[in-house]
Amino acid sequence: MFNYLANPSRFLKVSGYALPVLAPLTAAVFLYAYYLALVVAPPDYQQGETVRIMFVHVPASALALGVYVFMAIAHILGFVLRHPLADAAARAAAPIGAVFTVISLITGALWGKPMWGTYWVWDARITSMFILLLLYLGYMAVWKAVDEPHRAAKIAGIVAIVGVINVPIIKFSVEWWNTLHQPASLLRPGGAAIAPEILTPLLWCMGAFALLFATLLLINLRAEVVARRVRQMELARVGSVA
Amino acid sequence: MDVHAKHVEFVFTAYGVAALLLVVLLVYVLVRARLIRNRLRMLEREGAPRRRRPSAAPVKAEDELPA
Amino acid sequence: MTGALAALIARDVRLALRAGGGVGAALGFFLVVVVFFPLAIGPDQAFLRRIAPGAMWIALLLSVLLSADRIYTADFEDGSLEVMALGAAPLEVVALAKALAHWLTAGLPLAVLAPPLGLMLNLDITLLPGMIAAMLIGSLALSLLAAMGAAITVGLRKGGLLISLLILPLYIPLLIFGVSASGAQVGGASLASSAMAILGAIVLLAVVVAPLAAAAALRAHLR
Repeated sequence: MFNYLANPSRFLKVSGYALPVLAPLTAAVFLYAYYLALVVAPPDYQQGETVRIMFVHVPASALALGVYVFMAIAHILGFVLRHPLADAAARAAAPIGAVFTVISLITGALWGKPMWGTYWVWDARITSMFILLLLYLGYMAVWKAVDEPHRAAKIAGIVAIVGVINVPIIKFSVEWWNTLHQPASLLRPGGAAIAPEILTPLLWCMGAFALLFATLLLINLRAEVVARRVRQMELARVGSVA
Repeated sequence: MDVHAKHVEFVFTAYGVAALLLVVLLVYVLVRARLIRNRLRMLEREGAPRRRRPSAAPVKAEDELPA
Repeated sequence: MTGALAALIARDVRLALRAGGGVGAALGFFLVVVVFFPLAIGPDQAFLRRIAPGAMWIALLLSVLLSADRIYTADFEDGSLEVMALGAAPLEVVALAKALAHWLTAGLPLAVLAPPLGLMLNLDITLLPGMIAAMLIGSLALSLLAAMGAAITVGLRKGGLLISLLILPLYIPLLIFGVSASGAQVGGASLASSAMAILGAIVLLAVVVAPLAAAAALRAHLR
């Protein structure tokens, strides 16, 4: 299937059939997941209703990291297999991942205020997430800065792959730094094992976010494919005038 | 859920901000796709050729794929 | 291969020294940043003593980054870079030579001069040897990453801004372990030496990855 979709026209056709199925499915799973999260799930005995922020925060954080890894893998496939859609897929994924990162940071801050008494602590995970946002911004800036798509794809791929090598190093270094400056002990969310009545809605919410990513990626990737066709037509028109 | 619980305003703000950001993202993605498709239709209506005609130098296969 | 490496390094060092600007500007920038810390934070000696190693590292990072822009620009504009790409030495060796030349003309002088300048920030004088060692090792990785960023952004509009956005996140581990290895923490000698070891490991990783990535980026730009 992977190679079958390498032809952009064929990709447009197949994704044109997939999207009308995927989009309503995403909407349905979203509604059910957040019905579970907001109505069915019981409040936490320690955190009260505040625990419900977790149903947004955890999926957004997981996907934020996952999308960056997805981008790096897509670029590696682009380098190795020269799959024509791989680089475009990574580009289409970037803004989605960046928004997930912002959601993760904001909901994390709003969860931290009632739980820890402050919006922001320089905790290893929070700091790494913030750096991930910087990596997303740099990656998108590269696509904007380079005009020619082939070249932009290569350069952006280098940036994404170097970034993904660095994510664990950054995580490790921030953890080291954090243990040196350990602040007063915090009430950590997710410290204890998660009860099944919380875990089930959480898994549904993660599924909903993953489906949302797939849907948005597909729409964005289709637009990317059409954009390249438009670019070629414009170039051809300029060429025929000259 | 209990809408009068302590700190419940943080829950509402978090869900509100997340929903707002997701809607903005969705609108951005849809509008971008629509704009690009309109541009393609306009070019097709003007009868622009799909790609450069291979006149003197044949176009490399790699360049034809919108990779 | 070693001959090409040495020749390229010698050429770049000579260019940097004779054309002027590069080394002097980085050093001047460094001095200005060091003056800014007490002006912004206040002249309290005890507090300055605490922040001195961190402040010196931030000043070092920014100065190295500031001078990164020029690594490839001139060679890209006058076509020398294409000649190098066509030459016998692989582009990876060229990238490594460029990074090492940058280290010799920017990283090394700054790393040697920074710790003594730290005395203006009331730096603990017993920290000086460890800090010089940490900065010597760390600045090598700083230069390698800066050269990689320069290769990625060569010939782009607003390349200078982009390079900061791309490279500064990658500098974070170097900043953390560099400050730790400089003995800034109360943790004692054992912590500083393990931080130094990790710093060395990051440098080795950068020696491998940065020239590869830089060469790939240069190939994409020169295509």
